[in-house]
Amino acid sequence: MTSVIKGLIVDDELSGRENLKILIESYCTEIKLLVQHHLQLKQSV
Amino acid sequence: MIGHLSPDVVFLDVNMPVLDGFDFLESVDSSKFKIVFVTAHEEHAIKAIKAKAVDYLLKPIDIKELQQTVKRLADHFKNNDNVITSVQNDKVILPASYGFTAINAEEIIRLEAEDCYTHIFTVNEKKITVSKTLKEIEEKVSDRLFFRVHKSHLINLRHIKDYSKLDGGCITMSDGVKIQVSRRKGSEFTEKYKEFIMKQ
Repeated sequence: MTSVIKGLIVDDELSGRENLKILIESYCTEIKLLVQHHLQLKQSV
Repeated sequence: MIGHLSPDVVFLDVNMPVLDGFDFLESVDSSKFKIVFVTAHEEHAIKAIKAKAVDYLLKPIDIKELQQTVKRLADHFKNNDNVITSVQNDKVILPASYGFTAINAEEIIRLEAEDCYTHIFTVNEKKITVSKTLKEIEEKVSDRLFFRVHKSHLINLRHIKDYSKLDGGCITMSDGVKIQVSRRKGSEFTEKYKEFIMKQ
């Protein structure tokens, strides 16, 4: 079974996103983080 | 944006200036993914549970807690995958983070591989992404209808609109998308398609 969970981090602060991204990529092989180009929370999500 | 990415799980911060995490959930269809709240404030816990969060991570994040959360999620999705992916009476039943979805095999135009995932394109312009390899799905679906023309493409023979032998072979599907046929599959494809047409 090769299933990997697709994860997305939603955080308005880049530092928050980056910190969690590093932890997940370093310690959680079951998740592949999706690319999030940018998140404009003032606009439609 | 969320709909386009179709995540299985969203790690969601609570305190954000314009939309907080809970407002964010109201603005999207949150039934299609699992939610893990990530916040520095413990007082949001009850609200998070009511928002059907599967877990709650406090900042600064404890690595062991994060790993336990991820393991629970992985077990959940693995169990769903193993139980319900199947093909019954030409219905393709596919796992989703919120449960499962059933589609008629006839309605699938093509399937496209991307790493460990497969994107399924249907007649109503719907794109479904599942955490299965194309090979795993190919083994489950009917070889009467589907044929692997390329390492990244499995197509529904019923949805072929046009085939050109030029440039090594190119198929136009009913949704207008052009699919390259791999060189080694060219003659096998034409034989398979003849057989398919004869049986119609």
